[in-house]
Amino acid sequence: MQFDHFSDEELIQKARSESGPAAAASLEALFQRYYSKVAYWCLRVCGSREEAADLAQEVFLRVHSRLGSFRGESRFSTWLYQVTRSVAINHGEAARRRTAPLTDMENAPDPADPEPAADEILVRSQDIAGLRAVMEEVLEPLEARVLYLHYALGVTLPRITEMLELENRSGAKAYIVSGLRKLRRRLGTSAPRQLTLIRGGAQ
Amino acid sequence: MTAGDRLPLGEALRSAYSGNACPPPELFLTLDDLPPEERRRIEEHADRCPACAAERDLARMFAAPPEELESRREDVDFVVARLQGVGAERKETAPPVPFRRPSRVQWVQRLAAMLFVVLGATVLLWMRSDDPPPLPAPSAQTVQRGTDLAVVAPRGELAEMPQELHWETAEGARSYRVTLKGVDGSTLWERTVSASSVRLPEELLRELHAGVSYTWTVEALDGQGERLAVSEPVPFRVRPQ
Repeated sequence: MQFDHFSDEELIQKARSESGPAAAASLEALFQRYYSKVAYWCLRVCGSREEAADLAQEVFLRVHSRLGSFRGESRFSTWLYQVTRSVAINHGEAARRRTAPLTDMENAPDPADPEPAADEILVRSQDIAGLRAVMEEVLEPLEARVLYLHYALGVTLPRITEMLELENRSGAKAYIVSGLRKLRRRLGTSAPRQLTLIRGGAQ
Repeated sequence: MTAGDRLPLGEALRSAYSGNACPPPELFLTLDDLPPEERRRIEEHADRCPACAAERDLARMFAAPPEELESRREDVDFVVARLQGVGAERKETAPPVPFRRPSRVQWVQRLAAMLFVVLGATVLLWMRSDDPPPLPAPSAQTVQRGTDLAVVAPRGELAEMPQELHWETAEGARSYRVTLKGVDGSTLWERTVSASSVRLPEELLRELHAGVSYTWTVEALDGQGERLAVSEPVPFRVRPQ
């Protein structure tokens, strides 16, 4: 192949020094090298292959539009991973907003809590500094890891179950439910300076 | 308290675990390049820190060896086909079509068709004594013709997502079957209507994305649902923002 002997960074340089179809061909040769890698990664974090295909397309659209900001301070593959991870986080958050809240959490008896108005879990900004300590204090390491994978990194629950090879019946969902419940119990509404986890929007 | 005082849990977690204590997530991609002592230190930290353990899980999947990709080859190929479709659009060239050598039967059929055309033209010229009529002027409205059926819009690169599909009517047609396909050839939506246009439903529009190519065709059907004519497959794509 005519581009095989170029490194990733050389292909970017080549694309920058060329124009029109020649530049597009250099970029496409670069992207082709990573299609399978990004496709596999997206499949490992998304709920379906359709969703994975959408995410992967979004990744390369973003890469294409932001390539100008790549300054070559890291490898292209590292930069691509940063973009992929960032697109996946946004995608995961959007997908979570579209889906219904976890049934188990909704049914969990907790009369102190108001009726949820939305399906997003919110944290008071002044309590974020304490969140890390609270997480590590009250959660099992696996619960915290599952919570982080799902909420902070946007990985779907079935994929977390697969990724961490969880063998319990409901997989990652059980860890999410128990983790959130522990957080809420530990940070009850009676503790004024502690973190407040609520379900819902403005009260 | 207002909603502005609160952050979604995901954002709050990312914020809580960012800082000097945790390495940047992409570092887990290149752990093997680090000096052994540094690598051991980071691995030990990730064993204790749930956020870094999660980041390490994600980075490992990105650095998965080729044999791991093979385990999901069919799904990977599906996604890659979609990416290649978009990539081909980026290059503004048609996606590569594998070259197939025509079989001997196809050669015979083509030869027979050519002979038939030449013979027909000769007979027509012999029968007509006056000059042939001028070629029709091109239509003012750009259309794409298939087998007797022409589509009007949408076609090519567009500024925004089309809300409707339009085509020309066909003689004798009682209804039209419209099919919208994705870049991988899968049918996304199909509808049979009696008019020469159709509005795309909201639920479909929500699933269509800028930067992705779609293809649509329309078939003219008679009263029994038999196909009278069919258009060419017409590609369109909304320019990415």
